[in-house]
Amino acid sequence: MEEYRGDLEAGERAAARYALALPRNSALGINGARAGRRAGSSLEFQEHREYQPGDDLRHLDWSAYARSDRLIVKLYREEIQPHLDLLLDGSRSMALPGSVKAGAAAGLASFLIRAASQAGLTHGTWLAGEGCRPLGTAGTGSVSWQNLAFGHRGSLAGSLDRMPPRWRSRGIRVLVSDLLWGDEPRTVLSRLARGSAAVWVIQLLASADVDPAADGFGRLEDLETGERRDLLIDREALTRYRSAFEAHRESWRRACREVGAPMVTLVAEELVPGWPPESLEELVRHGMLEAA
Amino acid sequence: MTFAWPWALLGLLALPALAAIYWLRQRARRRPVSSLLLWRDAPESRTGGRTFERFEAPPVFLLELLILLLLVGAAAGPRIPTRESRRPLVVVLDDSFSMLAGGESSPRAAAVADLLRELEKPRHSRVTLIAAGEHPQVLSETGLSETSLAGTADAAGDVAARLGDWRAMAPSSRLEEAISLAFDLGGERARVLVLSDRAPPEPPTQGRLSWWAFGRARPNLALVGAVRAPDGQGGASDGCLVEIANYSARAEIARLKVAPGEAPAGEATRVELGPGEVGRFRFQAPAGEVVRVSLDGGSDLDDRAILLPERRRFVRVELSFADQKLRRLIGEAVDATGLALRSPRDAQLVITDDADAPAPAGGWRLVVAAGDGAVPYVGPFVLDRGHPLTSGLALDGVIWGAAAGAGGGEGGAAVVTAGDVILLDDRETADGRHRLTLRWLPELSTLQRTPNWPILWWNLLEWRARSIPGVRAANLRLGGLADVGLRPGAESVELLLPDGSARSLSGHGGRLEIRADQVGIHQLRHAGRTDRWAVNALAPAESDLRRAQSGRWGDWESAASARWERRSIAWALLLLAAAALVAHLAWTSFRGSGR
Repeated sequence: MEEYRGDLEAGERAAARYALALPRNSALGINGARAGRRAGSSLEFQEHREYQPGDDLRHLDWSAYARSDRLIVKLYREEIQPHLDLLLDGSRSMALPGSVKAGAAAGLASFLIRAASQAGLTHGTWLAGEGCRPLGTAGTGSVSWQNLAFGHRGSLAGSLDRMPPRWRSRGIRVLVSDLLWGDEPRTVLSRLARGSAAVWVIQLLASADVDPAADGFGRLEDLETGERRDLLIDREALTRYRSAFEAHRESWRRACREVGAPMVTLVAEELVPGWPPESLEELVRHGMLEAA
Repeated sequence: MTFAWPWALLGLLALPALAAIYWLRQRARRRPVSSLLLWRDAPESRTGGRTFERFEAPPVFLLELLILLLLVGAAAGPRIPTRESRRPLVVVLDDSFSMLAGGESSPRAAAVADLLRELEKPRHSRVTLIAAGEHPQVLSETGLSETSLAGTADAAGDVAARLGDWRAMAPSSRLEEAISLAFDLGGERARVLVLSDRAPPEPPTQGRLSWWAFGRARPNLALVGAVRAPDGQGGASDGCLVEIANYSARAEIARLKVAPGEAPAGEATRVELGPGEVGRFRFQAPAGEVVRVSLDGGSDLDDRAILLPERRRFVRVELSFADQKLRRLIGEAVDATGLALRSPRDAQLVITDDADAPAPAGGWRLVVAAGDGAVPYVGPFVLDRGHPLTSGLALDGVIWGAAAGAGGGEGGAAVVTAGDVILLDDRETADGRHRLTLRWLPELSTLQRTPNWPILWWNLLEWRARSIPGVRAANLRLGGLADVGLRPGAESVELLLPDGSARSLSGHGGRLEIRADQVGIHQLRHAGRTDRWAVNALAPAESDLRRAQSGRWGDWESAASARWERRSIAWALLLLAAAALVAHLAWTSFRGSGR
């Protein structure tokens, strides 16, 4: 944990100028000021309808009953408390040796939590390892994150299967990951989207992931599976890699569009250590951040 | 297996190079990546991966090694023996007695050992042995069958037994003639191997001839001549002459032992000889005794000689003439030959002018017939050059007076004729006697005043002397001919050779010519009589060992001959290499698409 302390603090500092932007197409309310789409228990009247068993008897409109001899209930607009559930990928690939990917991931998580707080959202942080476990105490900042580590060898879908996070219903769910695994993106995205108000996907990559160097013979070792391949990394190999990289990212983009989730790709080396505003421009452009 | 281009085997150096490449790749830098997911399409370097990491040769490495081996092997042009590679072998054996120099370590012994080793190789279909002496002699023309000569011990044993006939007792070796005979006998595909103690005059250039020499140059003291004078007419001792040669680069002292001799028994006579000098030693030997001469300390054939008593054989001649002038004329000619003994009793040759005189028992008769109506003939004369009487006669310019048909003698073979007039004829009887008729009138002839006259009488006496039972010369050089007259009626003759073996000969014809091919005393038994002669190894060229040499010349495995007997298998290796290449491509494709 201590090894990421500086990154966490840097992320928090960088978030001082930003607040998490709530999705515009969602009827949300903050402390009851944001109305939901469904009927709820707020004071704002929405409509009348026939009584159905199970309706709150307190909402029967006795006046209408007197006039029409029918049981009519009054529906009020639901009040929503905005909440952010941040799911951080804890796999080994997030700590790619020779890169600042792990520090950037920690800093980005800290950044998003601070931005959510500044937007008045409650928040919870989950680390996807063997299962999805809460990272620190809900509602507190990154100062309480004691078990942050990137050592998991499995896929994110596996983590969700084994121990899914206790999502807050109707909350905003943000996935921070490099997305570099072979499972179908929809298997993860569908779990994220189910019961959520919005899903955001932030792909955090190392520059070595985006643009690997052509340095001849090399024995590539998959950090998560341990699999090795001896490759001659030349221009042809890089061309094929980039093609595969774009195809993989495009598959995630397509899956994100299907669930209405914006997807942003960040490069770790562009974030840390300075967290320049231009590196966060993509988050702003996709409506995830706004100036505080 | 042989290789047409063995230098191509240098390509095998590629094998360690390949291993080095794999080793270097094994040491490829480890590079962790977030996921191999995106590297699936990148072409994998053809290393063994984890398999190689365990120091086990990966299949591709083995395949590449195999491909390299096959390609290098094909480039070297490997050739394997074909069925046709078994070719007849004709071995020319130097039969001269210099091959026996050195005793048990002689060139002959070494040659036999090497030949038997060569025959263990399965590349000869048949073996023919030719002894190259003064005349090439085939020792075993049939050789061995192809099936039996497959390098088996039996086959080698058969040849070894046949090599026993190679005695190396010839006074010279005509190798060139023997080699020509070997090529004729063996045919186009035969290999010819010469076993000698001398180097070839010129190194063989054709791939079918190989020349192996086993000689050793060394100094040698040798007897190169030994003669014994006939005892004449009853002398007490014979004169003997021995020639000793010093075939070395420095002066030597030959210690000569003669038994029985003038020196005390056991003492040797010292003969000083300069380098290359031939010295002569004369001594008297008791008449009638066998004389043995030897060089002290020598054990080779040319270190000893045997001299038997020589007897000059005289012909008992009876002259029976009515014409005393003619008697004197012929008598002088007969006496001049030195071969005649005038003896009216038991005459072996009767010369008479009486055509009707009775023939002597066992003797020959020459009738000199003048006849009536003689005319001189000036030729041309026709001579039967195969007859012993015509040897050396040259009748051009001779006037021969004779009367046709004089003296009878019808039915005899014409020896000299003038046109259709027979001047000299010969009629042989069933018991081997001859009746000769000479039609000649001295008054009309110049024959008696020409050299033909003594020649004619010498031929007659010599011919008659040779038909007398007994050996003509008792001391022969190796390779000479023993000329033996047989007793009348001796049809079966037994020859005892120096090595103890006996040989039965046919005595038909009254005389025998036996080639002297063994050193020592020969004995011939015929009709209760035993004749003996000695054979000595006296040949300066064979005793001079300074030019003896060892070595091998000529190579049967030359490219030219290899085409006959070996078949290239490069195509097979190339096919295998192609198959291995396909397997390599299939494997690498499988590895590439399997992830």
